[in-house]
Amino acid sequence: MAGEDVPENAPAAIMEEKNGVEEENGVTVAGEGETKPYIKGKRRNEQEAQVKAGKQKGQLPKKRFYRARAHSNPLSDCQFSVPTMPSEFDWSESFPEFFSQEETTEGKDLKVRFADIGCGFGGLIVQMSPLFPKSLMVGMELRDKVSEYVKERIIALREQHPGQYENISVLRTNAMKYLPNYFEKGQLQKMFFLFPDPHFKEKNHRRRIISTALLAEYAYIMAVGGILYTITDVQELGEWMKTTLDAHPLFQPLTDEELEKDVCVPLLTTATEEGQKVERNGGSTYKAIYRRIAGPGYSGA
Amino acid sequence: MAMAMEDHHGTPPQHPQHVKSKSVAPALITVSPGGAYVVVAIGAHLRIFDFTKQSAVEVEDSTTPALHGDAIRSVAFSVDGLLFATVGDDKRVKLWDAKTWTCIKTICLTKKVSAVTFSNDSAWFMVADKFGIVYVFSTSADSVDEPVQLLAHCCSIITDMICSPDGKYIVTSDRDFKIRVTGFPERPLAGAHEIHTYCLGHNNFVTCLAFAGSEGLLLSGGGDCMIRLWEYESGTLLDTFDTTQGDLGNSKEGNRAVLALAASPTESSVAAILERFEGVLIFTCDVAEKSLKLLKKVETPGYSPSGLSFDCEGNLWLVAGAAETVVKGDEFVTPEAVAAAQMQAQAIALAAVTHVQVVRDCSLLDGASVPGGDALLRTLQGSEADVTKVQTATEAAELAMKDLLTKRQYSTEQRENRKRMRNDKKVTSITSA
Ligand SMILES: C[S@@+](CC[C@H](N)C(=O)[O-])C[C@H]1O[C@@H](n2cnc3c(N)ncnc32)[C@H](O)[C@@H]1O
Repeated sequence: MAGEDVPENAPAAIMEEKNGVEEENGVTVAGEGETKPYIKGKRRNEQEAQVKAGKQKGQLPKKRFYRARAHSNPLSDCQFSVPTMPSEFDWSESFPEFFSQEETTEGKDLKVRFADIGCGFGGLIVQMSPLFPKSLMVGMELRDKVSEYVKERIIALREQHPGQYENISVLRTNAMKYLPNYFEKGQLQKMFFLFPDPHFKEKNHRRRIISTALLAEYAYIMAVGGILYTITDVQELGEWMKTTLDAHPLFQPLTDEELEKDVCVPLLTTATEEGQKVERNGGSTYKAIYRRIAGPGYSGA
Repeated sequence: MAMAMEDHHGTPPQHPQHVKSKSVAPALITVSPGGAYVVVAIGAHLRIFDFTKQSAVEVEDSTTPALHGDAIRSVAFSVDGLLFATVGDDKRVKLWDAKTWTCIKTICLTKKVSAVTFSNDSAWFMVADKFGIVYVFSTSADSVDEPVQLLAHCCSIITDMICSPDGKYIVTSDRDFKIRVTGFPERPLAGAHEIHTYCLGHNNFVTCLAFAGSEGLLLSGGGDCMIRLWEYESGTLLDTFDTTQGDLGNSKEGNRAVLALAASPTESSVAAILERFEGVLIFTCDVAEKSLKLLKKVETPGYSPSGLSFDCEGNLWLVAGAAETVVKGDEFVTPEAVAAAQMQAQAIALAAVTHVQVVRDCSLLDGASVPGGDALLRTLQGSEADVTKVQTATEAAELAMKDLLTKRQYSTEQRENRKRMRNDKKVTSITSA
């Protein structure tokens, strides 16, 4: 993913980086897990110095300070810690505004309902935030530097626009392994998979984020009626995702009219950094959008 | 059914390049549902005692590849007791007729296999490989056996797998702290897509699973030294027993993972063994109170059980022992190399000594009172294994290995190293203090 195209016109976020390890959402996150920072040693220190020097209130983070390796292997083990079960995770640190208000009980849904898997630099959740101001949404990103960037981006946006962007947050985690640690059965209303890594080689297909086995997990954390969105600019991957979803008994494609009405559909191509890049280059995209349907074992839960 | 953790030896001797590190596979024990057979799996071998005939039974295998070529990691009887399955490091899956002890079929997978279990109606058997994929096969002798994926834990090693007594679910545990309850589908060959719930609570790898009674209670043990009791319909944690508490001999520092669990088919007893632990913990699982209470720690001085199984009369069978695995490098792909490795595995298994004990009413029976008596112990323990047989097997294996090594022109030093290793392997130690 490219490192450009960030709005850099706004004043700055607080860039406190404790060396390597930081506390995020009550969970200790190892800064140097499997995804080794691109910049090491002296260069890394320089980078930190720059970051600290440039810290002015309300400024959006600069993407060039958060460059990471283009890909990391989602199958290798991670250093970051993961909640044992969903109830153990303290979301109030991700969404302080939502959780602090007094009238929380009244009609306010304090459960995360949307998840953007492999959110990259966070374009989608940022764009969706004002469209669904009452829904909590989280971006999940494996790469440390990238998730850190999104975190700073959200902090800056909240400072620039008081009262807004309070419903979005980001988590560094491996979504291929740990989704059931964060979400309960039937919790999510929308899941997004925008421009996922293609893993071209046959032997690496099992690293793909849409697979028959993983769809069973997604179906588990999704509410019946919830919608799963995928888009890619890689034709082969697009066909793979469509075929895999078509074959799955718990997912059903949306009809053309339904797609027409869905406000999220246009965002798939325009909201994220990767989508914008593809659009700039005039590339084709392939979408597969499905609804979670009840299976034969459905108990109405 | 439980798969125990791999135990790595301290400092391995200098290896020739293609040999990675040594590991040992624990001996396993299981009693057939009707109580007619006791089976010990040690290395690549099955040792079977037939109570009806009061003698040993030898398996017959005319499938290809015949027998196992490396350590057996998991074994299971079907619920009706008519079938038996074995899987292991040699990536082979074998289905046996548990009356004639002939091999019905062999399926070769591409990864090491860590767990096996049968569906409740005995029509299917499921195996889990080291990549976290569960395959399902028909138990019918004449079915086509292309591996069909039933489900998968994305990229985590599946450590144990069992079907619920009501036949509704298949439960799998993994290295990433998870226990997953998946609906067992009507048409298994179409896959199991509906995850019913997760049982989350272990703070380390989960090693073993067992069902207590028919009341819908699930037990699990893990690397966090905890034994947990679950209501598996809802995934609710009912009770936790901390094996590091009190004076049981385990401690946080001792850090002995729970190795295996067994539940008595007749009463509410549950038994657990721990890593490097000379004894077995006996619990009662109170279904009404939904609790797990320690009844007693039965000591087994000098032996740390590596496997356990209840018989239908409530006797608890324990085995202690281990056999080295034949660790193969990537070059072991030629038919000669595979054959040589298999010979080596057979020789190791033949020479391996295990120790079998029986616990009844919370106390250890002395050797003479063990059902099956001396004949059984001789069969299962291998302590009086035919010395000439062992020697012949070992020599044949050495010869086959030497051929290979000579072909690959190792330095004399490397060859000496290998020989030393083989000599080390001749007698596989019993786990003792
Ligand atoms: C090609 S980028 C697309 C990013 C973003 N969705 C967009 O459209 O701009 C794919 C992203 O998925 C992340 N990713 C890959 N595997 C992941 C996993 N298992 N869990 C979380 N994120 C993952 C990568 O780090 C990468 O940032």
